Amino acid sequence: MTFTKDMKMADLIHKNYLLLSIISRFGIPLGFGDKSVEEICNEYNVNTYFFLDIVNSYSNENYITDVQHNNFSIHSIVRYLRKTHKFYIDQIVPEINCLITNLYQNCFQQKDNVKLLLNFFDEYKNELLIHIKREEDVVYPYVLNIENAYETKKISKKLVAQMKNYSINEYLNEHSNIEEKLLDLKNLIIKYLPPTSDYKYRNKVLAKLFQLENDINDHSRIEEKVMAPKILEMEKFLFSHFSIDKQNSSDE
Amino acid sequence: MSKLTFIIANKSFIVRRGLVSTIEELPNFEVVKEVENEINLFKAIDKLTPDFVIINFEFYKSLNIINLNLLIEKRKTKIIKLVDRNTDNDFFKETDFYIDINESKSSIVGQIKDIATPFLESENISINNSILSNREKDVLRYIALGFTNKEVADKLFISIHTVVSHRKNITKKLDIHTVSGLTIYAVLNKIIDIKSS
Repeated sequence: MTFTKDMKMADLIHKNYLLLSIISRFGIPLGFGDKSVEEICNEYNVNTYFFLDIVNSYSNENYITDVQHNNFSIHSIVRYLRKTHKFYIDQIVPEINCLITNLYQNCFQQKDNVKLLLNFFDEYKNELLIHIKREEDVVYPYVLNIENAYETKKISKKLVAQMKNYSINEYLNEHSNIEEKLLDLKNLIIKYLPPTSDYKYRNKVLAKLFQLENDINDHSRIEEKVMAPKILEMEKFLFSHFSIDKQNSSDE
Repeated sequence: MSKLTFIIANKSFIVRRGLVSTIEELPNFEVVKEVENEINLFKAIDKLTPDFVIINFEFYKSLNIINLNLLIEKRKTKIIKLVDRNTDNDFFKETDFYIDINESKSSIVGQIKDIATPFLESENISINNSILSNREKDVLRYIALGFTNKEVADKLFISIHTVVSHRKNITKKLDIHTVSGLTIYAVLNKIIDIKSS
């Protein structure tokens, strides 16, 4: 099902409780009463259509944005993406870390092996942080500059140089596959780590890993399917509007 | 049990015959056509809908790839490329299946089986699918210890292509994709000793 602006905000959570963490990212607290999605969004100064795009794509990976209404800014997308990064770093990653540590402490037979998983998760965490840092330091400033140039019809020399060397297309190509390690960790816990005396924490770790995976996949989908196409259009416009020559970008 | 069908595309008569006789020794594998040029290849794929086309790399490069992909996509035909030690390494990045033609007979048979068997009545096979062969365990051991493909090839006296193809099969069987994940699998299954690593 697709969520619409006239639905009750409370019903969204009833349908998919994982949206809780998404809603907090928009700064919307619980206690909606019977207000509709649109009313709540207006109350908290959130673009309703952007909000709907996010919750719908989160609940259904085949959801396609409504082109009529996707006029929200890159600015708002980036703000949301930054909040999801913050959610990973401040919340879910420490939670998983803590759960694996608990699993380690509550195990008797598989202690050495669980320790390996803990190290593995550590490695994953570092990769994730590097990935996040690159997006925050390079990709997001770039897309914000593009949007700014597009709107003001003014472009700086620096951005022209950047555009020649880098296009959002390349970002899509290099969008590194950090999901692989996460997939491996899940399989190691489900299939290959022999039975452990503790199952509570093992199950909890898994549930959190699934949640993180789900969230990261969604995050990538928003970057690739919502943000990148908009930037691509703007880049195209800027190239022709300022007659920037793409040719001399090919020296590698 | 249904048979897997092959088309052999090669300009050389000798190479074609060699492949046909090698493949037909395997149960459930059948060569339905030999072809030597592009037109006949496309016609044969269109008419016979084979499971696999085995084609040498030079020939493959000369084809109209867009038309080829259109043809095979609908028919779920897979392309297996014949390579040798001189084949450009870059090409491995873009290809899924290949056979190293300079290997021994048993290795070539093994490579063809490794590629094709998963497509044979897949539901029956998936039960045993996750068990690694001894050779794959050898490869996994060295990978887990941090050796590169080249080093593993040298240690096991096999070509680098064979190592790459073993790695693909290991990853597919175990559903583990990273080196550190494979290392942990190897420790958990006592393929390597944690102290030695």
